[in-house]
Amino acid sequence: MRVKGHGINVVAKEIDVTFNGQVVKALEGETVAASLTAAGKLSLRQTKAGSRRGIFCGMGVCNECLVAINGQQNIRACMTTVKPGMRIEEQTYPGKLPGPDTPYLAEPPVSDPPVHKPDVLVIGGGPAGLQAAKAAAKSGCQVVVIDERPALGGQYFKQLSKTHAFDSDDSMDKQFRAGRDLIREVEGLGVKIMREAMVWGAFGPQDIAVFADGKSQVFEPKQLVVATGAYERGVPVPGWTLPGYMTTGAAQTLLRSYRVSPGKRVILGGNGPLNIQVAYELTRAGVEVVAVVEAAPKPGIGQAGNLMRMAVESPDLVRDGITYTRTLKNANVPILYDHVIIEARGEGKVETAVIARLTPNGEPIQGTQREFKVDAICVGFGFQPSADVSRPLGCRHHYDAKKGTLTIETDANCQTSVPGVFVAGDSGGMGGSRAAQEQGFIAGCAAARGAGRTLPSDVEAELARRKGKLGSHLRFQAALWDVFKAPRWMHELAREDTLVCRCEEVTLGQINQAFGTGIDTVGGIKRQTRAGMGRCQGRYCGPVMTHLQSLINGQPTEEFSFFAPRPPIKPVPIAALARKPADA
Amino acid sequence: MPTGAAPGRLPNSTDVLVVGGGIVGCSLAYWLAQEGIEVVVIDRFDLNTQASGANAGSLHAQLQSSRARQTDPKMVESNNHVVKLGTPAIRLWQQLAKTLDTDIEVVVEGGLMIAENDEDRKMIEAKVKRENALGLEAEIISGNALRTIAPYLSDQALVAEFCPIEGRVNPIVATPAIVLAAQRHGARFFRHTELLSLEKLSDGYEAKTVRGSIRCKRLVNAAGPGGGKVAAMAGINVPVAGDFLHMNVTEAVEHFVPHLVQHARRKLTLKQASNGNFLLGGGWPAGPDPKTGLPSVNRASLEQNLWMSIQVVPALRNTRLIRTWAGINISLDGMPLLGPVPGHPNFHFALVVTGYTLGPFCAQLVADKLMGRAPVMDISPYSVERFG
Repeated sequence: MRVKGHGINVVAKEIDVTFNGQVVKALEGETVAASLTAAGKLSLRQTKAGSRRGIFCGMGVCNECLVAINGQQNIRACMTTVKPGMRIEEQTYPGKLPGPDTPYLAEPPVSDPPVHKPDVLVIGGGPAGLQAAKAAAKSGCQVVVIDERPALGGQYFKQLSKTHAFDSDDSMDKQFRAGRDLIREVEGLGVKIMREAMVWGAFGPQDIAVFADGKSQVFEPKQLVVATGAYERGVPVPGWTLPGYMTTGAAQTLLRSYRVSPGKRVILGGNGPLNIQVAYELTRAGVEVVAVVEAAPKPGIGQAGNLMRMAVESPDLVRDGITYTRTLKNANVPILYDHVIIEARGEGKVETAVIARLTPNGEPIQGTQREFKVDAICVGFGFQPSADVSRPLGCRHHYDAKKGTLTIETDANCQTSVPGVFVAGDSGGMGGSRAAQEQGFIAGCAAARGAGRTLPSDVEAELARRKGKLGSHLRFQAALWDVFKAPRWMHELAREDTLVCRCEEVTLGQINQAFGTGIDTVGGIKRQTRAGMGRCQGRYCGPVMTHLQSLINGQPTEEFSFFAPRPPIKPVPIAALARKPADA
Repeated sequence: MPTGAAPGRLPNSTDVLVVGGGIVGCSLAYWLAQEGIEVVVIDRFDLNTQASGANAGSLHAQLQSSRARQTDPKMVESNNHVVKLGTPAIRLWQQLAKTLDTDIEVVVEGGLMIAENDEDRKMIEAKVKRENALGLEAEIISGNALRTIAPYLSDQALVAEFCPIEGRVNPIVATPAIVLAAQRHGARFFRHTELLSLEKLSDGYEAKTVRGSIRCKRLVNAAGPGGGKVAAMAGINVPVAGDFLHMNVTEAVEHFVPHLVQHARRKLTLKQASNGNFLLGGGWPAGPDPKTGLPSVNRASLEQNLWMSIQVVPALRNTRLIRTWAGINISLDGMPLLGPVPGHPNFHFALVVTGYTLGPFCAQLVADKLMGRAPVMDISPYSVERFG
């Protein structure tokens, strides 16, 4: 459903498209995912096994929201802008072979891929990437920023889409405003920005392959800043593949960028402050939020120290938190601490969320189940840093057992173990958007120096200031996550028949059975069960399987416990990559 | 739950010890265990990981184009010997597909080698004559006949060699199915059990591994690309090497290419797997990772292989690349290396080129020899004696 009010008005033209032959009203310029969600169409594709799927990650990595558009197959609804007259159809499996009237996904290039040699290439236009671009550009570097979305800002600074406008700046919250200002600043510095550009392969620090404008392009930058952010951890629970069960991040994108709610009655769950923030944003937009289900215990007197620390480091963020919880309280939206959503039920889409209270060890307590009738379940269990680019480049990572994530190793300048490659922001470990900006600026400065530039005095001054503040932000984050400390589930909430690998539809039982045959590596399990062979490249099942592997073989998890990183980072039309052999 | 979990301790002794848990070692264990022979298989990695697990499962019978162009008389003879193995090897796969209780996705719809010019047409015409003389069924087809069986080909495909016995199998399903069947007959498999040294005894070998020692009466070297190292431990020198190869995989689309498709001039192997994904390869090189020495993907191979693929099957422009992998192929002198070794009575070779297609059949030839039976065909051409 579309939400209204709050000084935000529709400015785009209403257009007609069809979904499975039925007319759907869309706003020109929004994503196909937004149009279909607004029309209540949540089920977008059929799997090989015949079940239904819809939007899950909302950011182009999970490949669940595939649809057919004008005959072309397997198009991500969340990353595609809607156009008048589009003929959108539910995607079948496997994809159909389009007829001769349907244009190919891409045409082979007539010459070798264009090569770009900027001083600094920044991958990712979120808080870290934008700050890196700013610092490097102010230091005299030629900078290119590439980002897969149609608009800059990344997940944190995602902006209102051009379908809508604020009636005045006062209607903007500070997250919108700070993002807008940073984007404007970077655009004003002569940074070359390539939107809708996707890195498909990282073959070396000076061999970054990008798919943009329907063709493959190669970057040979002097210095590389990787600011690819993070994606939500996949925690398999029964029913988590039903249309209407999506990440909280996906719901927030629909709401903040497109003014669309994932449903009429929504429940949010998981762990961490984002669920509370998005519950607040949905409530303010007039959506019925039935509850926020939080795995952590309610902050009590024992958390006074952490809350104090947070108030010292970032008092404004603590105030925001108080606003969120107070608004939810006034709207009678309960925050159910010590609870988790253990199951989603429904016929072909979400109809019921089942929650349960937790023991202090994080086990759902029998007999405490409660059911909520909802049409959307938004879940966030924290994030995985995206190592999509840093791993294939051979940058050293280590496994952070406490966070359960593979984490890049960087020095104080955000430099990785590979010279000239910097990682900043959440792709370097989860530090929040403020730390991401400081790290981005630090990395941008170091990259500028690496490209042979001397930092101007104002940049030096800003660098010193930001280095000084980074510690404070990281202390805030540490205290925040201490307040939200909760069990870190991997496979524990899944049943034997719950899918762990969503793409290839492999259940926990099948994976356990494969381990039972004596196979003790995730690579072996992948070959045996196909888990991890799908379009998402094992992003969601990989960490779960790696965890199971360490339980079974008793070996600690480390960098090489994970799937080998192989191109493409995301699916890409083969014709665009084709290159004529020199002798042909 | 299958009983496959390897017992923790390596036994003290066995009749036959197979070094290498790829398709050759695993099917050898199956053939032997079926006849009640005690057999233990060890592998330094997991089972079916290297050349066997990371190949695309083409069932090849016709000569590859690069081999057909070889003129060195020794290579011509080697290639002729390889052609003789193809048909019985694929028939055996068809039989395995019936006997194993898993669907191993054996599909035999024939293979095509495409020629786009006159020179290549002449090459495949001569090749068909040669292969027919060696007992391989193959024919030249062109024009309407070619369009009728393969409407997906580009207009540039003038003529093709059609070899009806060619097809595909799914290696990641087939090897585990064979392992399971072998285990039911008592074969034992030990993963992560790297061989460290061999000591020759009067009645066999003592093999030292990272997980302890095991004595065997007979030792079979089925170590694929690692086979040279294993032979050297027994004091035998053979020129075994490995080539790293690149593979591309597309998203799944509805089935429209039933054949195994190759090109008469350029490196290409193209087929559509049971799932609907296309597996695109054909000998494009991959590099060893400079840090780990393991296979790693290279961009030039990836791109040029895709160009070749859309040249031959234009409708592939409707698909996306979703995976790539780098595998390894065993390289010898073009021929398998099979059977006993003069002067080393308890050492046997089972090293197979074009390994996945020929694996179970070559293993059966070696198994027959180990059981004192005459193999279904003379294996002397594949003996180590050819290296002098």
